[in-house]
Amino acid sequence: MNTPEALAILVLTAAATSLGDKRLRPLILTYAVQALLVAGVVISEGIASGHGAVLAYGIAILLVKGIATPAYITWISRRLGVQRELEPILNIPLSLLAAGLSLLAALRVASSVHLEDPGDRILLVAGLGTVLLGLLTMATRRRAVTQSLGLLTMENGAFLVSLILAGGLPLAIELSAFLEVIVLVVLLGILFQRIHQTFESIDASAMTTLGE
Amino acid sequence: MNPAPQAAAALLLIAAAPLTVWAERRVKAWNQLRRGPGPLQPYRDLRRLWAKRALAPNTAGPGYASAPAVALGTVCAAFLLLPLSGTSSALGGGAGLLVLALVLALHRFLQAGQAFTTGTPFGGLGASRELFLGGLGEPAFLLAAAAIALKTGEAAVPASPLAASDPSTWLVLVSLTLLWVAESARIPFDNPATHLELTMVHEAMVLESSGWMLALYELGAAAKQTLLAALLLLLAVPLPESGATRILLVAAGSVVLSALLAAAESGIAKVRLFRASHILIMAALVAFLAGIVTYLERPGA
Repeated sequence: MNTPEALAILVLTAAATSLGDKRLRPLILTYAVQALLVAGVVISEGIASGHGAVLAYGIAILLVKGIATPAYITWISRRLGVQRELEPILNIPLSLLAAGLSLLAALRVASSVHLEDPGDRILLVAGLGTVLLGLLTMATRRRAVTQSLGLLTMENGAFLVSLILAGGLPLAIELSAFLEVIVLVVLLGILFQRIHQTFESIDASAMTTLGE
Repeated sequence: MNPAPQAAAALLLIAAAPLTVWAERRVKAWNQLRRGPGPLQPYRDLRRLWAKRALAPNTAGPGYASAPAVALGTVCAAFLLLPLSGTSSALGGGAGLLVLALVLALHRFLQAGQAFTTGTPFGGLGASRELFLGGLGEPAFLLAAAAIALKTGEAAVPASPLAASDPSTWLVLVSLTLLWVAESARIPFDNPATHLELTMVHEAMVLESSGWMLALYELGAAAKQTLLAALLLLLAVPLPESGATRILLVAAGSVVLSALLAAAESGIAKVRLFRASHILIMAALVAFLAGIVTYLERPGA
């Protein structure tokens, strides 16, 4: 198996194991590992194809998603005093079971798509699986910080899927999506602080009832 | 094939099993700036226990005295399911992994059963915890076995290692390593070095045992740890096809793996029982993912 596909499988594995933990620090760390692996996919493709721009893009992903974003989320959560996730809506055994079902669903969908290259199918399963697992994280966790990690996981998955489109998306589009993620992370940080100020906790389920 | 070399190999590994205990005691001692025991100490401990009278509680059932020997026997039988001395194993045929799961379950049943028949609260407590964790470990083992079967085409323990470049191999090994730690009753699942009633699992089961019965249980636990370490080595490391070197490398590798486990163990804390169950479910999820990846890796997928 080629390096990008092997790394994509590891991204999927990292996303799956993050559903088994409630503590925030391991969750942020797993996200960082995931992002570093995604950067590895891009860098290995850059080296294989010899495009300097792709290589530089991979290094940018490594710095921004792999290092800066986890550090920023760690800083925010420390400032807000968040240590661990509250009891999730779906408990850990059930969410791991749901993760297994998501993997099956990703496999089912990817098998129904006609692809020339079997390597692409692996990328598709890994990407779709990561998107579904990120969605699961967003749906089942209560803390806004953890939910944002789910969102970022989904973004990683969507990125893996975009790689199978004939040589990836045009670099301009990828760069704009990349900038959007940076803006997203900053906005999430501000949002956490506002939620924290208003509700004195960042338990997102507190927002289901209307305030005075 | 001739079963004699297989039996010899199994006996050698069981004889070497106390060395895994030595390796982990030594590494833990180093971590605490102590010198630690010599390699013969676990053997001396076993001899000391063997020479002592075994006491049975008044409430012990009829099978109590025979349970340790039978439990050790199941582990010995399990060694014959591994292709230790050549390309095929003595027992199990094409379904060795499934038989291995069955034999391990039988071993667990005997240990838990004797703990229940003592009628003491600790025995029942340890046994119920063991069955809780064991029951969650079994799906992980079976899913890993399914992934291996999908890779090699038969549900036996493969004689040659799985392809090291496949991500599915890494996932199978991660899952089986977690399982090995759990089955060996080590941190983070259990701590064999304490008798704290709040946390002990394996030690609570054998708490009433003494003398030669305890010696058999201790040897059985060490042998089980060696058995699963040998399974990991056979799956991961290219070994010579046959001969004494193969067995010696497996024995030495089990000792090294146990030393590594002790080193890793010194850096982490035991987790709550219900959190330990999460780790086992995660191992099952990883094994399931290994199966999916194997399916995708097939040339015609």
